[in-house]
Amino acid sequence: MKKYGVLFLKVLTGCAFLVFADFPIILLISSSLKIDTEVFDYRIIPRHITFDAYKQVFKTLDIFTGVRNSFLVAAAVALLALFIHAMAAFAFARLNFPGKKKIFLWILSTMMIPFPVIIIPLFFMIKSLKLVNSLWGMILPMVPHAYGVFLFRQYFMEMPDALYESARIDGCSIFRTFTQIYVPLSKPMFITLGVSFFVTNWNSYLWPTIVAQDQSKYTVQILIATLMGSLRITWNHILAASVIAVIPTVIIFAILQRYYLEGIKMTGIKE
Amino acid sequence: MGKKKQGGKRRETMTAVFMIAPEILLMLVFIFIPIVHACYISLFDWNALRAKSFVGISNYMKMLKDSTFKNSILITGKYAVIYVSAIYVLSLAAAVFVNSIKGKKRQQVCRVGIYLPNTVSTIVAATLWAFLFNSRNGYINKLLTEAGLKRQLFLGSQSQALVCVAIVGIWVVFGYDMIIFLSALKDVPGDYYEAAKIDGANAVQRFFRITLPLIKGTSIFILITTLVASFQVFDQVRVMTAGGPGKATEVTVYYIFQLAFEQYRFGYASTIAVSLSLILMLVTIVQLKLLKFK
Amino acid sequence: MKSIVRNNLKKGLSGCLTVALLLGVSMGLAGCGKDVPAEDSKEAGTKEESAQGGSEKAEEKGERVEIVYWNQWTQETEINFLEKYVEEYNNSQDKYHVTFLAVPFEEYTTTKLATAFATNEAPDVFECSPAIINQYLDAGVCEPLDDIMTDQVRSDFTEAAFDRVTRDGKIYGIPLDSDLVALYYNKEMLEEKGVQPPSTWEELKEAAAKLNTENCSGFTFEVDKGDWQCFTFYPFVWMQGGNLFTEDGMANLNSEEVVNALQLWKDLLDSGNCNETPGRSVSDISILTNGETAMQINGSWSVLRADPDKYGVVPLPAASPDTGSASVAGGWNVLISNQGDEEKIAGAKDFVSWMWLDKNHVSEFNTEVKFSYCMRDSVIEAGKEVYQSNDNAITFSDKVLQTAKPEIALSGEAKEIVSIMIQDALYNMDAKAAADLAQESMLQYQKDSGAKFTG
Repeated sequence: MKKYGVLFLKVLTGCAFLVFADFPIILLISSSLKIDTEVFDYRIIPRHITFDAYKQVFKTLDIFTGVRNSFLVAAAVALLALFIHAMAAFAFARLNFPGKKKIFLWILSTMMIPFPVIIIPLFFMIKSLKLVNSLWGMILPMVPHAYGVFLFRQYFMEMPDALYESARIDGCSIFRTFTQIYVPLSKPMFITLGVSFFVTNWNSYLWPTIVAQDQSKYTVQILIATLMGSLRITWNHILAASVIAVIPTVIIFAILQRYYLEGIKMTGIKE
Repeated sequence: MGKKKQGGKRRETMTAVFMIAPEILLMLVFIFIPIVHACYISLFDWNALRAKSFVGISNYMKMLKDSTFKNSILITGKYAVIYVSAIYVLSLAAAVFVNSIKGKKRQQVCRVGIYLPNTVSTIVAATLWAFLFNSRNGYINKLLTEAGLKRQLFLGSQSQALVCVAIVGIWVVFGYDMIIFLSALKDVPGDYYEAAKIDGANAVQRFFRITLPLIKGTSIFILITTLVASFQVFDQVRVMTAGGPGKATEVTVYYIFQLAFEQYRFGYASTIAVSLSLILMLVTIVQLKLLKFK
Repeated sequence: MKSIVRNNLKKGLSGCLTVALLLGVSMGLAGCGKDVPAEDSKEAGTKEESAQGGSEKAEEKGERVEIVYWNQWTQETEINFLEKYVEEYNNSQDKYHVTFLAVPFEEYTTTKLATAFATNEAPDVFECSPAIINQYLDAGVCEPLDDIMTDQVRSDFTEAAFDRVTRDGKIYGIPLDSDLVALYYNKEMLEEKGVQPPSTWEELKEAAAKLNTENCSGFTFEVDKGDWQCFTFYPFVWMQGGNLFTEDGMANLNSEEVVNALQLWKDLLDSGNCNETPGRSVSDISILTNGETAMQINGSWSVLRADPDKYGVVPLPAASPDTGSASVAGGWNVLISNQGDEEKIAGAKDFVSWMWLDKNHVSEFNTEVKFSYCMRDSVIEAGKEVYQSNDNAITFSDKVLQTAKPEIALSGEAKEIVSIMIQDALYNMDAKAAADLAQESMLQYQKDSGAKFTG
């Protein structure tokens, strides 16, 4: 009897979490299938289902260029960032060098700066590097980030000391210890962070809008924003375009998420 | 022997420098130099279009008397409390819940389902929730009236708007933080639980005595990063409330944004930004000390 | 422990996920790098743009002067219109080559333009609405256009047309369009409740009370702080014969008329009969057409989106039966930056006068591309058919246009003071106190900066 009670509670919690997380998303999809005048009619199942908004979006926006640009930007940031952060984090977690603590605190302190403030100084920088209107101008400033270093460091530090030491005794160089022991063992962390960087940059819009100086550099999110005119806003188009923009990120997450289970591997070497 | 050790040390330092160099270099170029630039701008009266005029620390003096600024710090603080505590509790609860599901498929479905909001951009998230919060037809109000309760104004109410804005932020992020907790939970050795079970500890005791201490590092990480994020909230406010009603949701970064890009007062905006960063740094240091972070 | 280490060492590169992935992306971006040479960005941009625009001739003739034109016309019809004429212009001569960029509105007026000007990356031709135009005119970053404004062109514009774009007797901008504000209502809902479209403030309050239901607010006006709220607030002051600024340009914010208008908005919101959370900008007519409200403040831009059989338009209700209504006209002005060299400025002028002084272009833009008015007699004349095409258009053309005054162009700080005043009155204090507070800060600001405003 008690067993069923627990099960019931569990199912209830699960439903609560899923409803909170996914109801707005169901709403997003259903509204994107409505006609213009019924978008806000508060029905979950549309009165008239139509794919017009999607057709219109494909017709009026250069969605493919947008997706391509967004993909290149997001993927490049994610991969560069993973590589750089993991390397730096390894040094902070495992190696001893003078000024280590201070440098790490400095890196952490960069998280404290609100982005809107450095827009103009950053644009000066991009301009002097001749990266205005290039995808690199959108990519490079987003790569350095204390968050990633912090999380990797945390993760590496929790790996047993013996792992590092035995690799070194085996005659493995420090860098090889990193690439061949630590990197493969932290696959789940790479994926967690990689997905996060990808999604964040896929969805970012303020900075790309400032860097892009012609339409061929527009990302998906900028294209969606162009649908919000100063006086005319077509909501069903915006929602349809948003659904299209969400699909790639969801696919990537769905594919990669099975790797999380590999975290279990770690347990064997914990002690 | 001593020489060899020294050589090893030097090599270690060299390797470390080599490994942190790319990160440091990029940070220098794209974060530190712009920050220094922003500090420099904060000493000027500058509207972005005209030449700067040097005013020294008078921007800082002005800030001390600026009631909007003080108010915005207060609101940011309130937001931080709501946001950080809610995210911590929710994402940890979700992680524990998902972790306890038996069956790979079911676990995956739940994980994807809870993570999904993280893929939605803020503009869309804010628009969707504005739907839900609508004072008349919003689904939440429909539920409330259905349950015999009074309908609420939500975004139109000075006391509720900030919470509503926070909910949107929480909605977007908690699934992601759940994933991070999840990976920490997976590393908690199963035999610990077995041992505790034999000792007769119930689920709640097991959670507080075993799980929580073992994932302390992750907890600290989540607390610090969400705190920092909460101080920088801006997107949702811009889309959902424009700082209103009244000044109920005018958080500091939104105030900075308005000063800079709506009023073109870049000098003063930088002043406030620099000060906000300092405050945030202080809060974080206190937090690190309190959490005994090493 | 050792076995794990050994295993991983043996696996060697196969485990080295990062390196492999990095290789993949660097190849991807190298590909993208090729079509995006990271040399002078502007040139790279324009080359691509021209290829997009279809005039590939330009690419070979590298010696043409590049003119960059930014605006916020991102809607499909607007982009098509601009593409068509920019291409036509580029083909009509071989001295200049124009490329345009339509920037999402939200970023255009805020971060995009400001960042570009701050870093000397300004476009040669750009557009401003009254909400931001003062920043640019006051900063002296614009080029006077008197030499292209011939007397003949000038006489075509209405008297007030250049009020917002004149500094020291020189004209700096070309007004493109005028958007007017009025009251839209749902015919069926009003009929059902036996309510006449309101013509006075009292009637507006009564109508809102009668029309308000659980699911549908009686009346919707802007409650969110910002430019649009100020924009729709002004006419309520003007219709009483009042102004927000005195004749000599000083603050007049605690005048009776301003306080009355604030009080009206406050009463409406407090009555509970109005839309407390529109959820999106009230400039969006879909609040009315989706059945969320029975009456809504909105403008001429929605004439073609609101079916005249279902929705009607009346001028904004007057303060009392014996005073008139008023409206406000906002719109965009084309400006030329003086940051470029002489050649660029000459080219920008040439393009602007070809593009935006041509009566036919402006007329097409205001009547076919979108629905808006224009402060040029010839355009109104030419668009007669469209401006009289349905009842709502007729209301705007015959009743609203005549009562419209141009939007007040405020500086950033002044705009903030007015915005805060409205928010304060709606949420924080009584109308008089909010007005007094705003008056005080505005006077202080004007004293410090010497700024003067009209309207």
